Amino acid sequence: MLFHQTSTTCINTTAIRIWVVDGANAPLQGSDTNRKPDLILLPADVASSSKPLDWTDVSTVGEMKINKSPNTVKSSYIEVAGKTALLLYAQDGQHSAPCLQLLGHHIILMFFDRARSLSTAPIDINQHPEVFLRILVGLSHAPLCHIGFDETVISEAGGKKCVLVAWTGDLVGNVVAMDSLLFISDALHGHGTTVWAALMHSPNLKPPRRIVVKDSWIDPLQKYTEGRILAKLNKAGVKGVPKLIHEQQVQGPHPSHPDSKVNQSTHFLRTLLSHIKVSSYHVRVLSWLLTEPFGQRILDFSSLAELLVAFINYVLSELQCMYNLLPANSIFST
Amino acid sequence: MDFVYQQKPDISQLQTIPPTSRLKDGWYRECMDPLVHNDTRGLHWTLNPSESRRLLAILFPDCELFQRSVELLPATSSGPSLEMNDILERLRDSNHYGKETQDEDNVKDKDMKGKGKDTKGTGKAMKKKKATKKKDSECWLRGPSAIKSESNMAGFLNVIMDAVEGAVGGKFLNKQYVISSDFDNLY
Repeated sequence: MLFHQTSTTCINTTAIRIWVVDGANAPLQGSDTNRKPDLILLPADVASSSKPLDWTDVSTVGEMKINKSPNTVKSSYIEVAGKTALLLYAQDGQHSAPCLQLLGHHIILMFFDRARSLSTAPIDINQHPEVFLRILVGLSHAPLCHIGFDETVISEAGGKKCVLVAWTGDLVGNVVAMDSLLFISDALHGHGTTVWAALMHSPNLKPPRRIVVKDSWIDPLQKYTEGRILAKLNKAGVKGVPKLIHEQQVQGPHPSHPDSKVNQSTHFLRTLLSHIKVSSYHVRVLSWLLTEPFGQRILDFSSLAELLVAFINYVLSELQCMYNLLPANSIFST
Repeated sequence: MDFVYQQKPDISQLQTIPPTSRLKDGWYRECMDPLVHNDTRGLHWTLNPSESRRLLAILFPDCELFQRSVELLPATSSGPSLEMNDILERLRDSNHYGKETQDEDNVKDKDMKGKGKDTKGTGKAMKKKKATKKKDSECWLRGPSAIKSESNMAGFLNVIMDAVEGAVGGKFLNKQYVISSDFDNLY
């Protein structure tokens, strides 16, 4: 559940992460796909507990080969990429993931985010021990936001998730409590869309409003964002479209100046790596969208007639949008 | 025959290929791996060594690891700020990294012989490699040249991390955000 930035405090915990191999012996839970990562990095308290290991507990994965050759570099990359896709699919609070290839006495750090993937050159751990140490210490002890977790999605005891939304005006003081996960993208690249059902508690309004929270990595160069289109449609009184409550770009620490908060973007990391050109990756920014009402999933409709009526309403709304309100190309381009 | 509408149909019948419901053995290796390769072709960037160091310095800077977001117990603020090279020097002192002694060579030899079939095939290559190895070069003394299994590798990585924790003289602490009690009244 969360809300306005002043409603959180920061504490220190001793939760460290350790490497285990249990996933190499039996498939991890939390996915119907049987995949066995060679090495997984887990919070120490999870690793020491007796509960079966789950993809939702994994911080990062590592793949191991006995030696380094062009073939093992390529094959382990594909294995790591496939398992990273599962990892991101299982974690609704993680946007990017650093992963390891361990090839003989060489190590490669791979970094997957919504722009594309990066990997370091193979590093000989005996010749460059300080680089090896930096990777190990970083993965094990760096703040969660440095290994891809969203600081604005906060886990409570009991597994409940909260979202930190910094809004202004009349919405200050509202609390958004995540209720259930409706959708999460399984694509390794792309927008990484995640949608939750949530309850929005207002100080002077009971019962809480049931809303939909969506986060996705959008293209900031698009003229019309989804929130902007919804705002125009709401203003024009078009029926059958969700009501926009709030849209914002999510802020996080700047990669090289952690004290400064900036809108989270795939652009910052690449600009710090000098020879990567803008044209060679996807520029994406993280956006939150809060809408209402929370409807019903198509799968839960009571009859085919209800489904048919919903489709008719959808088509009518689309027609009204396209021909009366917006330039046609703005709809098709978003 | 009357049509009977199934109130709650099996989800696997509705979705075309639900990605997390593919139970067929070997499906991933045969189909998903080529798909991942195709999906990531042109979207992956391998950095050169200098850019690799730059990336690591951005992702895991010393100030984040040892000063700002991660704090140490007991407080080490009285001394100079720790850097990765300081940690490495302390690991040298504690015999985790350095020049191999004869005893460590023997341990590795026994470890290799104990592996049996897997390592017999590479015995000639290993001898050749050892013959050409510079004896005065430094290495991780329980490092990957003696490790052939995932459990050994995990053990090695965890031993190094324990040694790092010992080298910094305290426990790492991670910052975590919690909800303040002012908002409890809303529920």
